[in-house]
Amino acid sequence: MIFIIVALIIVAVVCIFAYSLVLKEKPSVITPAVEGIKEITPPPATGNVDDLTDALIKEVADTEPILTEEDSDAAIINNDSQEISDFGQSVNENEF
Amino acid sequence: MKMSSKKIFIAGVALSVTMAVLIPLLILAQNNDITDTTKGICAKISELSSKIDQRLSAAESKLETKREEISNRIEERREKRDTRLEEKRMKWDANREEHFAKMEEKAQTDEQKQAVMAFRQAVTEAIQARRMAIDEAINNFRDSVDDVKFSRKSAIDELVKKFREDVKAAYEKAVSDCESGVDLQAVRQNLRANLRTARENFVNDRQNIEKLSADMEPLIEAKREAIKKAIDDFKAVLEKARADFKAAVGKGTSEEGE
Repeated sequence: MIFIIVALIIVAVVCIFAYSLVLKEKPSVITPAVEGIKEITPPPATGNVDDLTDALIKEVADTEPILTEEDSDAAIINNDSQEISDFGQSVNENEF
Repeated sequence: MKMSSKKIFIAGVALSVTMAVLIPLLILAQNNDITDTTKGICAKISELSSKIDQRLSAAESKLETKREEISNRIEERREKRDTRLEEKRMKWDANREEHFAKMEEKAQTDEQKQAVMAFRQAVTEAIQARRMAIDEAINNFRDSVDDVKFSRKSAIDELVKKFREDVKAAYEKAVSDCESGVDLQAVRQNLRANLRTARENFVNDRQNIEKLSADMEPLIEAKREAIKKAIDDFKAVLEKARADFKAAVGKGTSEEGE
């Protein structure tokens, strides 16, 4: 009986270890941070030229993160790396 | 006690005899396996080739699916950014209109009204110029990203094609060797060596293709520069428009009028 319990524990440990390895090897997908950028609220209109000028500068700051996010598309292009590797590994000369 | 020693002796002899018979049999069986595998290599080439071909097709199909996923993802992200940018622009346009309305409301004299009008025109034109320059920079960047993506795809397609041809050639050579009566062990070794070379070439050629990714850095830098220039130009025009406005309404009057 005790052998069966020990065997079951060993099988469980091996399964957990294998599962953790599978999780680790999962190809990483670049997910650029799109959300979470602070929204700038336009200031109330006062009729003062300086306030308007400040508002115009704030507009630039508010839209700038969207323009920067564009850069991360360049990295997404390489997201097929795992599939290319898998293709190359489809042939294993040592398997026969 | 005497009985027990006898039993141990008998067991020891039995074990020795068993081992003496089993060990040579096992060695022979192992040799037969190798011989069978070697003999089978010619008979199994077609089956092996077909199996590898199926695997390559499946891997190629997965690659194609991933590519579509990447293209869709990029397209989706672009659309989302365009929408968000448009929404923000509209939000700031509305705010700016409120500011102008207040300024116009406060302007009393003709000079002040004229100054507000000139300021509005200068600012509106500066915003349009900035947005156009930014849109152009974004569009140029997107076109360049698409170009790099296309170049990479073409290079990978070529690589995939070459790899399949090399693998096919390796199997064809093995078939030809078998038909020519080449030693079976040599057929096997040659096939292995040719497949290894094909795989190594694939890995090496791929590394060169991945260097294409380095092409992205100058594109990102060019976009940043173009956007920075658009913003700097805008700020310069804005500053001048503000100074002109203040000069037109007169410092003292503007403080009151604003």
